Amino acid sequence: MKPITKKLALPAGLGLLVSLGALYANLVCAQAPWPFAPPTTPMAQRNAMNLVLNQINWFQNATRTASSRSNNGYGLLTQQFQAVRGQYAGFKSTLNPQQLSSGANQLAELDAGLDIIQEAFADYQSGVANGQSTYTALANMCRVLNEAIGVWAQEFKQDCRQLQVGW
Amino acid sequence: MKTRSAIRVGIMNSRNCLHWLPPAAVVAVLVGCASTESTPKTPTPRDDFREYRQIAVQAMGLVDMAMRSLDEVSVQANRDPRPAYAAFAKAVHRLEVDSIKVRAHTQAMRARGDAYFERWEKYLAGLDNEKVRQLAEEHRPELKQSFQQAQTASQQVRELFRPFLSDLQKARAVLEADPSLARIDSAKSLILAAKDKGRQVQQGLDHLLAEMNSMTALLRPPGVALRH
Repeated sequence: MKPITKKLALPAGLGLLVSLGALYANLVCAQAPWPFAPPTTPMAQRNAMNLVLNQINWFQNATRTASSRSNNGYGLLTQQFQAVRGQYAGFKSTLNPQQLSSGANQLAELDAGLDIIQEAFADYQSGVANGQSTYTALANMCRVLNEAIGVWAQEFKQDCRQLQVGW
Repeated sequence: MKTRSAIRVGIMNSRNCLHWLPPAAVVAVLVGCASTESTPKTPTPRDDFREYRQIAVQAMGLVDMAMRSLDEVSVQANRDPRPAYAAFAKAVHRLEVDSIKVRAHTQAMRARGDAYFERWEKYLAGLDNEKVRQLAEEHRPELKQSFQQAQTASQQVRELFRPFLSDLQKARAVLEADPSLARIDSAKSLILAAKDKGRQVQQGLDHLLAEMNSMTALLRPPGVALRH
């Protein structure tokens, strides 16, 4: 039996490779300079925005369960909050120059908002240092973080609408 | 034999199909790159100033509520301070969360400096209302000065707020386990320090609102009430 599968495999593989390349180039967009810069297409922006919102949901879930995790609760929350910051940084890199310019005040406020929310972790440490029980201090911190990130998320969504993110 | 022929025909057909696949992929790349999906659109401008005024007013309410509830703890100390303590704890929590917006705005103003004001100027220059646009142009130096005063007041609020909140949180922690007269008495210097800092924050917010009212007055066409 002739190795027909071998003969078939080469053009099929080449075609598949090129098709994947076409799909990837579509996502990347021709204007991306070399070396590679993050895409600023509407699709990339929508994806990045959704990643931020998803991470916020996970973070809020973590605030609801952290109290029951005793020693790991604080560490988990720290990790999840840094993940929110990471996704937000990734989102900003998808904004085009016009959005960055006209939204400079909004973005500065969102940046500041995250810095201020992060202060809740220092408040926890101060509370424990001042004699508060770790359980109570953690419960207080979780309540603040849960609500505060919700407020931040509302501002984030509003700013995304104003900046026409993903349009 | 028939099976082998059928397979061969199938392979030839698919090979024919595969012939056009690479060029099609190339076309797809070109089409994708030429897509207008990436054309940037003009974002909607925002009235930074009006928004900031609203949240500054909200912040005044939150600080007032926290101060009143702390007063009430002292007032009720010789009776049953527990309901007053519960209200105080709630007020502190609201302050922790709801003050984030005003704190973020003040921090952003500080970080962006004059660029924050320039962004707002661009917003005014693009308004449909010609009278307001003219007034913004006419009163540019006064607006700039008022904005700088507002920035200074914001900075004061930002610097005082953290220690004020910290004292409130300490008072809450101390009274949490036992909101009794004895415990309130033992925390009296902490309570007094918190009230003192709170008054300074209120003063800063008063100055901030006063400057914002000045800016609003400069932009109000004579005989016309602005919507809020």
